[in-house]
Amino acid sequence: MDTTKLLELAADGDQAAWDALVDRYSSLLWSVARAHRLGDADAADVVQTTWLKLVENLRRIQDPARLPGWLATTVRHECLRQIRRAERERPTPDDESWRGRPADEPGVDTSLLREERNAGLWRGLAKLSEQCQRLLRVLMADPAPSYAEVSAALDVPVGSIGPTRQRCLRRLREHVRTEDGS
Amino acid sequence: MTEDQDEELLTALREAAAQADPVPDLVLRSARAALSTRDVDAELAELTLDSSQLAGVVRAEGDDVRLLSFETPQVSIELQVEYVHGRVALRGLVAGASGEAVVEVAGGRHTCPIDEEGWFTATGLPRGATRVRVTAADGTAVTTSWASL
Repeated sequence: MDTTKLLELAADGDQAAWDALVDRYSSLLWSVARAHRLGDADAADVVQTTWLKLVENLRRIQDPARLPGWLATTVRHECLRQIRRAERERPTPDDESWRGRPADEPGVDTSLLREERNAGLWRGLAKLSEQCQRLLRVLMADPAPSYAEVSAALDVPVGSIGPTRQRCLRRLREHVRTEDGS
Repeated sequence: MTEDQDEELLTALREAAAQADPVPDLVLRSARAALSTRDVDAELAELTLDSSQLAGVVRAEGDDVRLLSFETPQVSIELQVEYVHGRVALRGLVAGASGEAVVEVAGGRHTCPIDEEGWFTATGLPRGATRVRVTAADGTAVTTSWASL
């Protein structure tokens, strides 16, 4: 079922249609939150706030075809809001997960990875520039986001995404190869 | 490298992310439950100010109060937010509405009486998405947009 129909049904309170939207776009929202380096609690918070804002705006989405772009923009704003707020606040134990994450640590237990190849990729990712990590993390959303969605998620020009993607993937291959050789 | 090889690598990365950093079940469950907050009758009071987002405002030592303002043409709701040991304490000032303010947070609603001067308080709230619902003088339900506290 297409997004327009799902939105219409959800606006009338149809839970199955809403669940379908959640299933379709949760990975995108989570990926954008992670691309902004939010820890578990903050990422969960921005994703939930984004869904609540969609419920609030179900009848106000002008162009249903652009829903993923709207979601990506909304979650980006929430991420930036969270980051600005955390910077201004005195650290509390709640903020530790976000602040305590070193820049070169993807923040997950790599032992969870089933295959060594994927573990190698995940480790290689941590060695890339921040720009590459952000872009690739969003591109890892499932289903794969369009460049328009990536542009909305990261506030970068659509035209820059292809070349940056190519460069970042080349770097990643180099890191993985170096690791294999050592 | 060819476009195909790039696609292949991205597919592998997508698989790695699905294994290493999947969307947590609780996040999916909360998202599905979000539809229950649909409120077709209420008028939306949009956020007009959030002090935590103002650049360059130097705050006094020990001044941890965050201010948020929401408005409709008839009603304004100001929230003073304080963070105490990881919990949220709210002090609200309402104009154009009276009676009760219903503070909605993850996992609950808190009904707070609005005093004659328009103030209400709610303490010990969890952090996260929060909204406040009041009834305007003409009987219209007004709810603030969701704000992450």
